Amino acid sequence: MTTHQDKRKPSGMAIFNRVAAALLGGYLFTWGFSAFSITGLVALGVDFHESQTAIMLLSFLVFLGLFLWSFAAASLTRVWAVLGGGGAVMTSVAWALQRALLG
Amino acid sequence: MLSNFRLSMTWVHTWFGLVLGFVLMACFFFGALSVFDREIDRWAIPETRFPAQPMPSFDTVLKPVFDKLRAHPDDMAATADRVIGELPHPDTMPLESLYAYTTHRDPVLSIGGEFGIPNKPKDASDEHQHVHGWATIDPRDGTVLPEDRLKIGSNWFYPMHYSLQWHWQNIGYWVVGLAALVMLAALVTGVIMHRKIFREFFTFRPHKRTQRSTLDLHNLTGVVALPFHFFFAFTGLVIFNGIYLPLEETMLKPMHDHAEVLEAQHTGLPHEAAEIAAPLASVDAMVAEAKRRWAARDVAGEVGLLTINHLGDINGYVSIYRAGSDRVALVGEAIHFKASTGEVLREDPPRSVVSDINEFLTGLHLQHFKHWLLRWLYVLGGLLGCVCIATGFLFFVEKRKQQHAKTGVQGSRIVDALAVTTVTGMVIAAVAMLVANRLLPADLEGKGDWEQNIFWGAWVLALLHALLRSAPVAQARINPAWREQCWMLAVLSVTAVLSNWTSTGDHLVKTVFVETYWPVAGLDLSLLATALLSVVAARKLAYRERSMSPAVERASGTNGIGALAGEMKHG
Repeated sequence: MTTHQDKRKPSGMAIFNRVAAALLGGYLFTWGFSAFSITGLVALGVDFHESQTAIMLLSFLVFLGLFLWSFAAASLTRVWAVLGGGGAVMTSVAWALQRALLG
Repeated sequence: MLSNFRLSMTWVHTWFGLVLGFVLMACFFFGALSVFDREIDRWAIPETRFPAQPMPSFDTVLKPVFDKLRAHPDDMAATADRVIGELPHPDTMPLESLYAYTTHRDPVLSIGGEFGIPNKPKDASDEHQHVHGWATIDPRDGTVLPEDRLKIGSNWFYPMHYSLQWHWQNIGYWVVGLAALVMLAALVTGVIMHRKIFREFFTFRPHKRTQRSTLDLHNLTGVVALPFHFFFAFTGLVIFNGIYLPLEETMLKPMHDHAEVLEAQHTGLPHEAAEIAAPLASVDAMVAEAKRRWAARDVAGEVGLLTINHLGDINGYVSIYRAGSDRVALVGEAIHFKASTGEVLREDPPRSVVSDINEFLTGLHLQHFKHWLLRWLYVLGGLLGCVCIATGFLFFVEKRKQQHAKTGVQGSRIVDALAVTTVTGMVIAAVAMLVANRLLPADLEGKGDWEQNIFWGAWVLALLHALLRSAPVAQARINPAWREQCWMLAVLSVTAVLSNWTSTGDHLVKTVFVETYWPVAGLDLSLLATALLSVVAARKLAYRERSMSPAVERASGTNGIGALAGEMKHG
């Protein structure tokens, strides 16, 4: 939403894109964050269910923060880069870490 | 998204609040009803109007009931779709695990179990090789209660609260989860929008213009109950984290399964059956031992949940969980016994800090504890949530309807009609269901289905009525459907109380004074309070409609001033 004429009235497409970024991007990031944090804690020697419970308590608050930030941020591209990119990276790291841990 | 932070946050508050607000109304209202779900069940199933019962003897009452329990036809059909080949006859399926569950508010006992089947699953990753059976019994003698008596409180209003009864692909859960996220976002953005939080605690100007007073009430109910609203939306998400973020069943499944096996080794509770048959020792003796151990730990209590895993196998074990009537955190302090000998295998150790926090938070949401005042405060909190959301809709409409009337836009008219549907329409649907429950004959085949259809039917009619009567909103006036549905609700509520009396003989004098039975009296009194409130609302609305009618406006000369003066005089 960087380049549009009337700043008070975003277009339908702009709204759709922003909502999609907030919900899908936010979910993807939260997923990656949770998977990465749980596997990370397990790697540090914390019990699996313990880490799972702790991270679940955090993850919905993380999602809430990301959701609001998606609308507050000036650049939609940056929102997608952080949420999509961050989510994908953390998911992949969690994947690899899990494989390494279970050997 | 917009030119500045506060504008963006206001946008999120307005539009997400509007769209998901209709879902949130249902979550808050049916959540408030769910606080007394067991009591509503008693009202709806008169045969079960007797005092709450403790867990009965397993050896004498429950064992014969479980011997007769069979796989449920519904789950037979569902399982048949998932597995290869014909399922065996239910009479030949072995019961492999079982549970019995009660709370301090339950006269009846829920039981169920899993029956083993030899069939292979169609999907190799599907590990669930069981058919379920379940029943509700009278714990005093083990009689199985008829199945088609719908538990309107715990099986209709309660699931409506978290799933909207929309089960396809769990979509109802997802919609409710999104609504919960939006509730959290609405609370945060609401605070950002207003800033003068402290002042809003004390600001309510009912005599001002409708737009001003609805906003006051919206802010007041939002701010006063802010921790309550935030807590319930947040813990609602946490409770269903397995659905919303199913990591341990998908991506982290290898790690989860690994942890399960380690845990089974650590706890000494066998993860798998040994396939060697073994008898079941006296479960009553195990219950007595569990109670003795709880008492020794200074947490004497009743049994809330009893489970047996690997039933009939040498690896079988009995788990006895304490009812959570005297604490916030959910059932726990389990003691596990070897099923064949009755020796103690394990006592659950004290929980870790993390799981303590989790159990406390979810326990505070699910409230299994015994505290009637707090229970009523939960109802009040839920209804305050409804007021907060409903006034949000009204403010949305009030703010725009003059403008929309001038430009011919139908937006506020539609929002107003939907608000009617989710405020009075929703309550009408719930009360119509109760009326149907008392007026339809008890032995009617599929009575529960009838009740559900009447619930949906009444709600759809309320929507149609609200839409059909919505024309005045397009001229910036009040939709008469508000008033008409208030009258409808008053009539239905009184009918519900009267039909309870005529169909069961339980009138209020009896249930309050003679043979006091609060579950039924409480619902009757709440229905009468609803009727009273509806009549008051209907009369106020009638007054406002009259003072806002075009004739009055013409007489007063200037557009809208007459209405304003009328309101102020009336207030």
